Amino acid sequence: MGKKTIIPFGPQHPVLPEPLHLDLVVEDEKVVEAVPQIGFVHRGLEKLTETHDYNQFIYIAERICGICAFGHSMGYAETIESLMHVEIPPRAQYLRVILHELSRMHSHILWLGLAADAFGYESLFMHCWRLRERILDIFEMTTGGRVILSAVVVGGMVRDISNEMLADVRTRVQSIHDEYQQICNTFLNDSSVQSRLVGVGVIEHDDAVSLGMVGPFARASNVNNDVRSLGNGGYGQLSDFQPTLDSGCDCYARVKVRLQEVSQSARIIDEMISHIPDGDISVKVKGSPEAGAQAANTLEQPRGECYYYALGNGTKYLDRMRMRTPTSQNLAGMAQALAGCDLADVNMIVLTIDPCISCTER
Amino acid sequence: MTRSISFTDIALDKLVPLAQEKHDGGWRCIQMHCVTTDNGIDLTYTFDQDGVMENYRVRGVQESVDVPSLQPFFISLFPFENEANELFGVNIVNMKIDFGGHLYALAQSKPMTIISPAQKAAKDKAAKIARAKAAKAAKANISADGGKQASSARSSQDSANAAIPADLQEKLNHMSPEKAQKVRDAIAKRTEKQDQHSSASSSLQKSTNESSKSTTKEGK
Amino acid sequence: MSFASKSPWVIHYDASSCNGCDIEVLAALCPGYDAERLGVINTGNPKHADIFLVTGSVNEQNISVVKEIYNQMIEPKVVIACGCCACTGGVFHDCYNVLGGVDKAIPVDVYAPGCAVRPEALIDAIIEGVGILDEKAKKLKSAEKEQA
Repeated sequence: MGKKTIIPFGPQHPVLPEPLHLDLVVEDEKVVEAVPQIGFVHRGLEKLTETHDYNQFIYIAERICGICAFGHSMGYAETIESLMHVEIPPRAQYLRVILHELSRMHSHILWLGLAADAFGYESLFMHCWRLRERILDIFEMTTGGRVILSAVVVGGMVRDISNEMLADVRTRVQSIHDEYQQICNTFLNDSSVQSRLVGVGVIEHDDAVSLGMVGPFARASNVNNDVRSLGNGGYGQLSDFQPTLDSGCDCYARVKVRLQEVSQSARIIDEMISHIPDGDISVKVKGSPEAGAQAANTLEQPRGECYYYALGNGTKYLDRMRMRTPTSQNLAGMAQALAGCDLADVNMIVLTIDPCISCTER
Repeated sequence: MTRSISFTDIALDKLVPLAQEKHDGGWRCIQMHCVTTDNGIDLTYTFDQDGVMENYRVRGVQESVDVPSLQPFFISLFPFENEANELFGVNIVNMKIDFGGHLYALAQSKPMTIISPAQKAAKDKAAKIARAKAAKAAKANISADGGKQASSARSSQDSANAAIPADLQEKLNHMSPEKAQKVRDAIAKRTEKQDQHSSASSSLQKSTNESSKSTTKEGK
Repeated sequence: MSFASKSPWVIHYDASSCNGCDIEVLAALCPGYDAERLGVINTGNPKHADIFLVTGSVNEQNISVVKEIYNQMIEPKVVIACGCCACTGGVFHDCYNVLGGVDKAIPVDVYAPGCAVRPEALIDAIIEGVGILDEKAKKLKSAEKEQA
């Protein structure tokens, strides 16, 4: 019978990109309980709808999280368009999907690098981020920004991407994907990586469903939920979309799901660019939402399903704007996975939910 | 899979039976949030299954009222219920994971319930403008209807007389009075029919404009 | 102590940031921009660090953490505020839980604006910070000599 100690983890820790505090109750080397404390990133930005109108708020919605920035601006714009019954042109829908899938690729490769750093493989971390720089170069070439793109407005896109530039993007994505295969190979087949990932942080399928998990975290436990299958917006133009599932239920399966999603995104970008129609990229949106009008929307961000809700009150300031991000749904799953794990695996388990604490706390 | 989204109002005492029903039916509860209104706090719970999303709204919850927690059915709601407690002051009881109002440890208490005076003034002004618009539209409708009836009677008489060309008028003067009356009646009927047709098309235009206006008003 | 300016070690902390500036800080240390060729290493221990890179507008809960890390660092030390939010509060300056800028919690030596701050601007800021580190080191040395 060992003695219980409490080890504080965070908020400042080299492996954590964001502040999160966990009090780990440890007995010998096993974690008995993990008590989380969040609140270090809460800015209270949902209240800013009072001082910023629905067009200005998109710049705030983007800055909820730097990694999922494009996803939030796209989800917000789609919700307001649904609130005001605006139909955006097809070219804008295709462009949004292309940039969103590029965003997914960069987010997953970023996560793979951080995961490698978490179990000590620093050179793999450096290789992943070196590859990611090439995706950020594509962002800079097409929209002008590396992290915060500001490419979406309510009604469409800010600027067009010419067909020549899109052809260039396509060749670049192809070459990035070719180089990416080597990283995939290391993650899947290297024995030191496997020893740190296989059998760690297991959550079975039924637990995953009752805990309400979303995103790749849940798809690695064979839970079939991917909002892109609903075919909303540009995603309805895809010829064949199947969610990436795996029945491993452990950290290795979660790494595998994200590795495969990067390849799937590269294929989606290729298909979208070859079929993009010509035309306008935005429509003028005039007036304000009607009083009492409500709209809800979901979007599959790199971390999972994100829910948006908007309520109008007749003025150009929204009464309420709500963004429920995937990490807040996954917190219960994380607490479950941490119970009973080894102390050395805490980093890895916290990272496998792909936590975006700034999204959770807004 | 196609998607459908619905919004329904629900009473507070129906909340737990609804959660039980959704839990047994295998639905996911994807979020819960609050809105500050003049009558209290409105809580919205969202359930989703296979692309069907249902939002249920409980209106006007006061701080003194106990709201039952749905964490026994859906544990993933714990961050949202704790947030509702801290930012809006909603009193949720029987939570499985309860941070006791210290999830975020804010400097201000219940910040989302504070509506600044400038915001309130803007909302009141917009409501006033909307009411004035509705009253104006209703008035325009009534006057248009009454005036239309009188003018249509007059106009049919005038148009009936004007429709008879001069040479026909000459002929009628030479006809027997009964025959002339019959001819005049027939012409009057024909012109009335023509008038009705033209006025019907213009009133159809007007009514479509008004109906679109009224649907935007009652967006609730 | 010129060895610090030849290889300044940094400690990075996210004080209520959206993560945009944090990933640019990490990107500056990765092969794309490679601040490591200048001798910069990211350490997790405040006692090993010379330069403190702070991102984000500070919120109520984070003030004590930022002050704690600053107090644990050893003189001479330099603080660089990375990104608009760390300089003045940025887009969030009027939020209810935001104090507005890191200089409300600790003294700042270099301000590097941008949303998100570009890696080139960060490397420039580190070089300027290194210059300030040298000056502070000289002052410390001359103060020690006077006392002795």
